Amino acid sequence: MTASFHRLSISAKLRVVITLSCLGVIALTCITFFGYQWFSFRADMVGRLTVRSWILAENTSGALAFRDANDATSVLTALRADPESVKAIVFDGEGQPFAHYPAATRPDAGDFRRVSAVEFVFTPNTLTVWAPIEHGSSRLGTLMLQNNLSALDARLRLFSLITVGVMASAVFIAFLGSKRLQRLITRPVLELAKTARAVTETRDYSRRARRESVDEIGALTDDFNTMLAQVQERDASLRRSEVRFRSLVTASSQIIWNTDALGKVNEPLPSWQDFTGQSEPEILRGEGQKAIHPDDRPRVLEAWAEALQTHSQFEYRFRLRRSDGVYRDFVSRGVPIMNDDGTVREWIGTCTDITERNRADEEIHRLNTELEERVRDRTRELEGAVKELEAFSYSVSHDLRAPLRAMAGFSRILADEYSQGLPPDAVRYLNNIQDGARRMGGLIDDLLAFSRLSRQNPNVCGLDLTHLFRDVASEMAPELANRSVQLSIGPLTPALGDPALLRQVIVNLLSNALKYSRTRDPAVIEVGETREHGSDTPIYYVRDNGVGFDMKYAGKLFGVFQRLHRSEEFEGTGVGLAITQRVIHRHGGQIWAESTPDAGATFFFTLKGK
Amino acid sequence: MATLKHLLLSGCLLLGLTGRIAGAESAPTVTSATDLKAVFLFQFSQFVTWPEAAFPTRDAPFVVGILGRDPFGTALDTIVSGESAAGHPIIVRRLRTAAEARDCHILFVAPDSERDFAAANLRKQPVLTIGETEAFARVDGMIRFALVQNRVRLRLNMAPVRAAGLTLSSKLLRIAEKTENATP
Repeated sequence: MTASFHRLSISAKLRVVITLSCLGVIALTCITFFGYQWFSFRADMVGRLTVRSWILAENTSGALAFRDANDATSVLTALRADPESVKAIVFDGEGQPFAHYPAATRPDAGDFRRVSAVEFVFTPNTLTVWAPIEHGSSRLGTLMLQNNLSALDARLRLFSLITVGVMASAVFIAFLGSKRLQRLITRPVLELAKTARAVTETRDYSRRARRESVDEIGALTDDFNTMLAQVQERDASLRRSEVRFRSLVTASSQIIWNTDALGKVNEPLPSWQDFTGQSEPEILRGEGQKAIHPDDRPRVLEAWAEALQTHSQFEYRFRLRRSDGVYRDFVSRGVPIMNDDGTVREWIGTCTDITERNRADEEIHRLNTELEERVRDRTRELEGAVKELEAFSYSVSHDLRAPLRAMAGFSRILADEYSQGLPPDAVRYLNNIQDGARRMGGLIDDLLAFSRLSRQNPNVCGLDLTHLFRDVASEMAPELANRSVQLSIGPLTPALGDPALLRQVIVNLLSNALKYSRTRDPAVIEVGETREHGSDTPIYYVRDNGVGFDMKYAGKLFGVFQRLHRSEEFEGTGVGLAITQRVIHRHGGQIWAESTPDAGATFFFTLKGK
Repeated sequence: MATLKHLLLSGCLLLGLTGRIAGAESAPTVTSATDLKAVFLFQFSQFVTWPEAAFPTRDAPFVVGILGRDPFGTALDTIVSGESAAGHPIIVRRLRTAAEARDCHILFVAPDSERDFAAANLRKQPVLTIGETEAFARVDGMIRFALVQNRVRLRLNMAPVRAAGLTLSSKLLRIAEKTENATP
């Protein structure tokens, strides 16, 4: 039943459903009404017969008491008025029939029933009522009344007839109504179905279903049209992308290849054909590999077979014969394109001519090698020169000491022993000679220290720079007794370094700062640290408010014997900052300075952190 | 005795008190006329209403008197035993003279005592009087048992009933044959 219903068209389904629901409603109504009629009729009849039995019992009690059967009979005869009344019997106290109606009737065994109150019994065709006949407190007998139920039957028969008539009309009306409904409901659906079929058959996604109603089917139509628009859009973009892809393949200088999951070529490979000069049938026969250099072919085919087996990406270099017979270097890369279930659908790949690139790579390699060789040579030469230079400067400095000591010694003896006999000018000249000799001694000491730095390695350990700065500052305090100096040493991050060398650095930086701020009252010197944004490495600095320098000479600051001020103005050998820089460099750090003339200078340095 | 009384009341007692009972449907019910009359005497107590004045006290007995030769034997006594009328226990009293009938509520006058009854002049007394002869009505007897086609029928003389202040149930009136005796 259900299966055959499913096969019906929508209009037939609608007709069946409407008709069945109409019938259902009417049947339910009729059954309800039928039941109501049946019950109410019976209840009515019971009520009527009960009342009647009371009246008759009352009216026959006298006749029964005084044994007047004729009177009882005449009372019962009143039942003539009711055609449904088929039998009435008055029983005496012993249950013997005393009077009956109609005259022709004969009491049956089942007619008597001893009752203490009114009782009734329905049979399919009759209703029988028994009532006690009493007078005062004494029981005189029993009355039995029986009606047939033909009136109920007749009424129900008529009602059934009407029901059948109404049902037939309902089916007819439902049938007519369903035709109209069909127009309202099935036409939009059929329209939609027609469009869907047309789209499927013609693949014309520009078609649209006509919307016929504003209900769910209308909404469905709209959704369908939206879907069609999306499909159309996607179809167009697919076509565009395919055209783009094909153009790319055609325009590309690369060779693009494509095989099925098993590595078989099923489509012509125009770029391969163009390069190798092979024909399309050759390619489709799988003979494309013959263009690979015979020496490379076995390895390539082996690698390809393995890639097919493992579904892994494939990259291999080989030589490929160009149509003119020249072999060119190629790299081929292939990737499997997977289905959703993880199996390989096809392989796609490229072959790129890397002959030129290989040649360039070789050239670069060769040049690099040459360059490295040259750099090594130069470095070696340079190192030798530096060593010679250092040895030379050391020996020069060392050898300079002897004549200098002679000059200083003899001039001092001259000043000590013969100063009284000399004119004042000669004494001044002697003093000048001694000053010059002392300065030169200082220069030589510095130079020796500087050249020593190149030879010895720093002895690195953890350093508390704050402490070191404070220590050096306190040693300098006596020199500053008659000066107004504000010196602040901020907390500094500990670092790794050689204590003796870094002490020298600090001495140099602080004494520079003090020296060039000599003209300031007060001199303000600040030692602190800062950090570049995003870096952990501390940058220590020493800032003064001294005379500063012009930044265009900043490059000369750290050179040996380079001075930015005249020595008459600020004494010094011009070696201090060179030593400082060398120490910092040997610690793997950097040093630099910033300044504005007459507005102070700041020296920054870094060390390899802890 | 209860069974016997029941049978009598229901009118099914066969002739004699032998205990032979006609319960079978095939046998026609035969009840002796005398027993039937005894039953009727009892039934009158149920279908007739006496004025309050007829009872000296609340629990005064309801007296059924028999004047003259008693035809009922023990049947009547059996029937009324334990019964009551309007709350008064029913007793049977056999009278020697009509004068004693003044205390009765129902008085059965045997044919041999009708003259005695007439002499007593119980007119206007609340006594339902029952007799058996046609002449009974002429002496202001109220109800007569008449035998018609072997059936006991009731003949009712309304004038003395009204004069005595008795009320007869419509059911009794319905089945009784009424006569109006103008005789004073």
